[in-house]
Amino acid sequence: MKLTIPTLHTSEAGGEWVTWLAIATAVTLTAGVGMAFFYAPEEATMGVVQRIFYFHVPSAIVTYAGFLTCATASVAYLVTGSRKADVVARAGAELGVLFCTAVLLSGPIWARKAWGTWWTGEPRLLLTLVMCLIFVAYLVVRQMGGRSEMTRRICAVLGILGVADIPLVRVAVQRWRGNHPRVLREGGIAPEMAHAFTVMLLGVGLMFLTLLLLRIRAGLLEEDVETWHLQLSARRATLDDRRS
Amino acid sequence: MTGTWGLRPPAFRRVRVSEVSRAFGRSHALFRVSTELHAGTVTAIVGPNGAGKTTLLNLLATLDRPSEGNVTFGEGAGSVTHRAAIRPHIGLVAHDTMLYPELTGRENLRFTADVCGVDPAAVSTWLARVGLEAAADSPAATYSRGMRQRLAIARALLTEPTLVLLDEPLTGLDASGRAFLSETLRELRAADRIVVMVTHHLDWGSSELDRAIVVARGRIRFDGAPPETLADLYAREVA
Amino acid sequence: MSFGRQLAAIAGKDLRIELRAREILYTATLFSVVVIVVFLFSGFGDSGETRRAAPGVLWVTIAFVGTLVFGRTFQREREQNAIAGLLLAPSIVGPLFAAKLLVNLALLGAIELIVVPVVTVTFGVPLAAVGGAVALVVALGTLGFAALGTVLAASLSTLRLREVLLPIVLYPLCLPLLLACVKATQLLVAGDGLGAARGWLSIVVAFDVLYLALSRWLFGQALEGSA
Repeated sequence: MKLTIPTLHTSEAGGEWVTWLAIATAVTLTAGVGMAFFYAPEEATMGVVQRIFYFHVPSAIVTYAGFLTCATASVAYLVTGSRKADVVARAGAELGVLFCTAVLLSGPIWARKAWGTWWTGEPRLLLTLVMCLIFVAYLVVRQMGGRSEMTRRICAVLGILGVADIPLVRVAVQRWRGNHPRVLREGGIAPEMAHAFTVMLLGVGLMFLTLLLLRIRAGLLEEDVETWHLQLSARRATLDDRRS
Repeated sequence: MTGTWGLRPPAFRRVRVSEVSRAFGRSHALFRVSTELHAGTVTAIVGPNGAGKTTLLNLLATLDRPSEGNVTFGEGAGSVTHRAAIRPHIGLVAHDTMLYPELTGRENLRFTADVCGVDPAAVSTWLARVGLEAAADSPAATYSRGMRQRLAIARALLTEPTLVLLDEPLTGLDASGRAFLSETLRELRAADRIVVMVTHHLDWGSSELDRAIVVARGRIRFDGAPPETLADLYAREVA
Repeated sequence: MSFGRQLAAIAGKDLRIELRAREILYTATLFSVVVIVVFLFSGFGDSGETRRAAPGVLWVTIAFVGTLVFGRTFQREREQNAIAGLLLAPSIVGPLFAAKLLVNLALLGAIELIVVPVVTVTFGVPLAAVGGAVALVVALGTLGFAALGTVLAASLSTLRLREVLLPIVLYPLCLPLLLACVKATQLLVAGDGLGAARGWLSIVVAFDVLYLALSRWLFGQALEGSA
C-alpha cells in the first residue's frame, strides 16, 4: 500500500498574499484608530465615548458578512458535499460570532453614556443578541456532534435557517422598539468623522477577510491532519497484516 | 410454497462493491473492499466483532455512504446508481427490529405495505408464512425475541426486495425458526434474489450457502465457495 | 406510489401509538400546567398587571411544551431504528415530513386546547370576548413553530445531546415568531381587535410561509445519509 501524503492546504485560501493582507490590515487599522481619536472631532454631547462608533458599526457590518458567508457555504455544502465548503461555513460562523460579541460588548459602553443605561430593549441590540445566540447554538452543535458527515449536514441546515431568520428578527424587533441612532443617514456628521469611519470600515473589513482566510486555512489543515491519521492507521493495519 | 412470493422479477442482478472504504473518525471500519454479488446466491459474511460486517451491510443498504469507492447496483453500463431508485428494492433485517412495539404484528406489516405501496393482501399471507397468525393482533411489545425476529423478517420481505440483507437473522429464533429461515433462503435463491447474511452462527455451511466472505479488521480475508461449515473457514482465517 | 397513502399511514401510525401509550399527551399536558403554576407563583399572577402577563406566559408555555413534543415524535422512529425501514420506502421524504408536521400540530393543538383556557382563567382574561381571535393567533403561530420544530428535531435526532440541543437551537430561531405572537395576543387581550394586531400577524404569516417552504427541503437534507 502506498502512503500518499496529501498536499498541504496552505497555498489555498489566500496563499502567500494572506501575509500582505495582514500587513494592509495592520496599517489601515492603525491609521483608522489614529483618525478616530485624533483626527475626528469630539462629538458635542457624548464626548469621547462616541468614538466607540468607529469600531462598533464596522464590526456590526462584518458580522453580517460572516453569517452570510456561513449560509452561502452551507448551501454549497448541501449541494456539492464538498468538505471545503463546510470548512468555509464554519469559519464564517466563528468570525460572525466573534464580531457579534465585539458589537455586544461595545454597544452597552456607548449606551451607558448616550441613553444612561447599559442595556435596553433596543431593536438592533436585540437583533444582534439573537443572531449571536443562533450562531453560538450552531457552534455548540458543531462541537458536540464531532466531525461526522451527519454533523456537517445538520450544521449546514442550521446555518441556512439562521440567516433566513435574520430579516424576520429584524422586522419583529423594529416593530417592537425603536430608538437607535441614525446619524449617518440623516447626514448629521462632520466630514472628518466620515473619513475616520471609512478608514475604520476598511480596516475592520480587511481584518475580517484576513481572519476568515486564516481560519479557512487552519480548517483545511485540520482536515489534512484527520486524513493523515486515517492513512497512518490504514498503513499500520496493513503492516500488522503482513507480519501475521 | 404458495403465496405472492416471486411474482415480481428482480430489479437488478448484480451488486458491485469496488474499492470501498468507510472511515469513522481516525480509523477505517472498512478499507478498500471489493466484491461482487450475484442474483440467485446466498452469501454469508463472517468475522470477529468490530470487523466491519455491519458497516458493509449498511453500505449495501445505501443507508451509509462510502468514504471512498462506490457500490453500484445493476448490470454494466446501464447500472442504476441513483439511491432513490434502488432503495425500494432493498429488504433489511437489521440489528434492531425496525418495528413499532406499540403496534400489533398485523399493524406493523400493514404500515410497511402502505408506506412501500404493497398490496395489503400480502400482510395476511406473510403473517401465516412466519407463523404469527395467532399473535397477529397482539402488540409487538408482547412478543418474544424470536417472534419479533420473525416479524422483522416478514417486514423486510413483504416488498419482495431484490437485495435481501440480514444482520444476524437467527437472533432469538428456535429450531423451527431456523428451519423457516433455511427454507426462505432456498426460496429467495430460486427467485433470483441477492441475499447477504451477516452471522455469528458458524454451523451454516455449503448446504445452505453459495458463498462465504470472511471480514477481519476492515478487510476481506476470504471470498469464495463455503466449506462444509463456516467454523472450519473461521478457524483458518481468523483465529 | 401515492403520497396520500404514505402520509395517512405514517400520521395514522403515530397517532395510534400515541393513543395507546399516551405518554406525550399526558406528560406534556401536565408539564404545561406545572409551568403555568410556576409563573403564577413567581409573581405574575397577583398584580393588577396579570392580563398583560398572560400572553407571555401562554407563549412561553407553548414553546416549552413544543420541544417536548417535537423531540419525542421523531425519537419514536429512532428507538428500534424504524427510520431505516422508512428511508428505504419509495419517495418517502415528502410524506414523512408532512406526516410528522401534522402529528406535531395535532398533539400540540390538543395540549393548547387545555393550556389556552387554563392561562386565560388563571390570569383573568375574558376568554369569551377574544377567544376566536386568540385561537387564530395560536393556530398561525403553532404552524410555523411546528414546521421549524419538525425539521430541527429530525436533524438533531442522531445526536446524543439532542434533548438539550433542541431548545438551544429552536428558541433563538423562533424568537421573531414568539415575539410577534405575544404582541398580537396582547393587543387582542387588551380588546384592540384583529385590525390592530394585523402588523404582528403578518410577521407570523411571513414566518409560517418562509419556514414551511424551507423546512421540506432541509428536512430531506437532514435525513440524507442518516440511519
